Amino acid sequence: MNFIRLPVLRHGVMQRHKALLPDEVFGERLETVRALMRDEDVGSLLIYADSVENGPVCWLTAYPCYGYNKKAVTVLSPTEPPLVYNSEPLRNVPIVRPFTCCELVRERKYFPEAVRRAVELAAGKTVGIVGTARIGAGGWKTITESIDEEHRLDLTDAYFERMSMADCAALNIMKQAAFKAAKALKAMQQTLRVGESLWKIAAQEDYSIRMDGCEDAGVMADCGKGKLYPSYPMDRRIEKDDTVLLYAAAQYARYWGVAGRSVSMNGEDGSFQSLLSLKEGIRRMRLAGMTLEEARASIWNLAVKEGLTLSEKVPLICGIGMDLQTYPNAAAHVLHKDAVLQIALLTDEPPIGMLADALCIGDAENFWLANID
Amino acid sequence: MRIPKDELESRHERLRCAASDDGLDGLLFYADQVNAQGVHYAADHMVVGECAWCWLPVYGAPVLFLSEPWDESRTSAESAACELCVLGTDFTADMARYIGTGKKIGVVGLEGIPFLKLSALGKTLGGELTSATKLLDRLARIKSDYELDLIRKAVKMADAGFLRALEVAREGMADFELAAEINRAMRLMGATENFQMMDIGVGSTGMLVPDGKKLEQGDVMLFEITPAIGSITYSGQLCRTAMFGCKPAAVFLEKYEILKEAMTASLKEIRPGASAKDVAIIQNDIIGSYGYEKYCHPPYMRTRGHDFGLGGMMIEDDTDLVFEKGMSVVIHPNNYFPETGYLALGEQILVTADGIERLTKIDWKIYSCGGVHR
Repeated sequence: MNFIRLPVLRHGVMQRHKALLPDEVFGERLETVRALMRDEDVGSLLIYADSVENGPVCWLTAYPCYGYNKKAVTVLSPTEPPLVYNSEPLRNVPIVRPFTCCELVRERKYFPEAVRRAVELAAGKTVGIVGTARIGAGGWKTITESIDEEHRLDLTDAYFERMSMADCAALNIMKQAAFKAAKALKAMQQTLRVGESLWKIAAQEDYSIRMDGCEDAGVMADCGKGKLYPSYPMDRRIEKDDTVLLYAAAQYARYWGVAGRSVSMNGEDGSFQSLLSLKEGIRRMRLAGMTLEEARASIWNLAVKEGLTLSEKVPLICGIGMDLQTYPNAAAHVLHKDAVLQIALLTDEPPIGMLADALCIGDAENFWLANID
Repeated sequence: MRIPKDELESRHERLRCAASDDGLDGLLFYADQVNAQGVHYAADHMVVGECAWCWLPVYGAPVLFLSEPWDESRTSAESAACELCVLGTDFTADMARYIGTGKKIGVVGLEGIPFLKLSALGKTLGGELTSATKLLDRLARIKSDYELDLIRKAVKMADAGFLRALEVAREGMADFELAAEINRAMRLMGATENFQMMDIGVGSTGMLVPDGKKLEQGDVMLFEITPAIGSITYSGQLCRTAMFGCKPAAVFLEKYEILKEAMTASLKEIRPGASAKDVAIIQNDIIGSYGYEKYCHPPYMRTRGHDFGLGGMMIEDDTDLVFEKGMSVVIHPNNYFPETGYLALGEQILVTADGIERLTKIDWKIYSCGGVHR
């Protein structure tokens, strides 16, 4: 999980964003997933998402699990359009229908019904399952009772791996989301002064991000003179000579953008120039094809050459997209071209320096989605 | 926010007694970011990372397990009453070191735990894991003075958010901008969360999240504003209706009177010992008596009130619970009318020894804004 605190209900603008995510995009994604189904020889796919890990269903259907205990299951066959089974109360269905490009199925027992449909569509073949890490005990019971072990296959990693390779539409949106986060971060930096409350600064930036048309915002901040970490902002006031850590996340058109920086209240640079130099080094790294662990080690070694010791407590690299920690997020995951990563560089010893940005992996070199200093 | 030591100790004592009565060796609370209230209740911890667990043995000190090493310093400052353990890659082994094995454990929030995680933990801990979610709901339904104080503060925030919306609403303003204004007003007062639903337009069938609609003259503005402090258990809700750029037409006033009548009768009914389902039935009967019975049930309407977070009190016509002193719930006879669309009237109340206390200062009326006197 990344640094922000998810809301119980996204209450920024929640719309389909059809201009940014037209039907054709979902058509192409559908083809990608169907190719996976063919490769794995599965007869149907059952894709689970909830408000903590919203991506798997949303990527294929634009349907967001936008709030408290919202869950959705997409069922896909090799030929028929995807169906979105959801947990919405009946009266919300007309309101949420425009969120998705797919047919919305509202059944009282949405999960068993989705499983039943997946089995039916598989017609005796294996059912692929995506999102297994989030399915609760009740859901698993339904799955195991309905599909014997030989006829179910966990395709979560394979699906997420394909989802990590951003298409043009996703990259375009993530760039915009990153700029929105960077804009909020810059505004936050300008309001910093001794005596100011971190809580107030965070509230203001949360407001700016929402006013900028985002679905939701996450702002983290901390200040002090010792070791610091991105933190849920408490009502702490900035003191003279403090270092302030600021981190903004903006969710726009379903995708997250992030930006984080440290600011020294005494104007001293600390380790920041070295972090910028490291950032440039990361841009030039050939990351495509590496595992996450290899990429982490490479960045670590580069940091050492810059004279920096990075904190091992924060996730140095992880994928971002429709969720704030997605593939690649395990040591063995492979980094692919066009995957977008959050790179969070935080020094381990005072004076603390932090730099967090979204990086898109290229063939040879990479590019920062919002290239700010 | 820090929960006072005596409040936390009192919670732990009641939880331990209840666990012991149920033959449990202890309670294990689980929280992810969306369902975080159990761990907050037991450990004064607001989850920021992937998840947290709190182990409260019947005999022994509580332990808070944290998934994120980077959140350790905030957590240790916030949740001083618990021993802290940052989980490594083998989280089940880490937890077993503190919990032990072969125990009978009540798991609060078990239903929301991803099965693979629960199954791995069950294998390592052995013994028996049973759901204790309802145990906590039962204990947490009655609020302490400290908790009621938080709810009162949350209601004040909701009032301020609503008044802010009336103040800033202008033609062409998008619904999400209005939501952002409400959000900011309440955050600056200390709200950590806002379950914000709304709608603007004409002939609404209900409200949900902003979708980019812009305010026009004659729009009906519907608000369900729910700030929380620390945990959604400490929420205060306000449901109100306003007209933009005009005064409400007679038909709106007429239908709103029905909601007020239902609200008045509901509040009159509520006292310790009164049945929750009777309150729902009263509302449905009154609204139904004007010819809107059909609109008192799904898909138009569902619940007539509820508490937030912990408690599990739903005010529906089949709820088998009674009100008790110290409960705090929202009562909302919000309803859809074909002539006006959805109208909202709801607010947070406290159940007292002999009735209720209204917590909001906002009147029961359809407000007007956008250059029109309220």
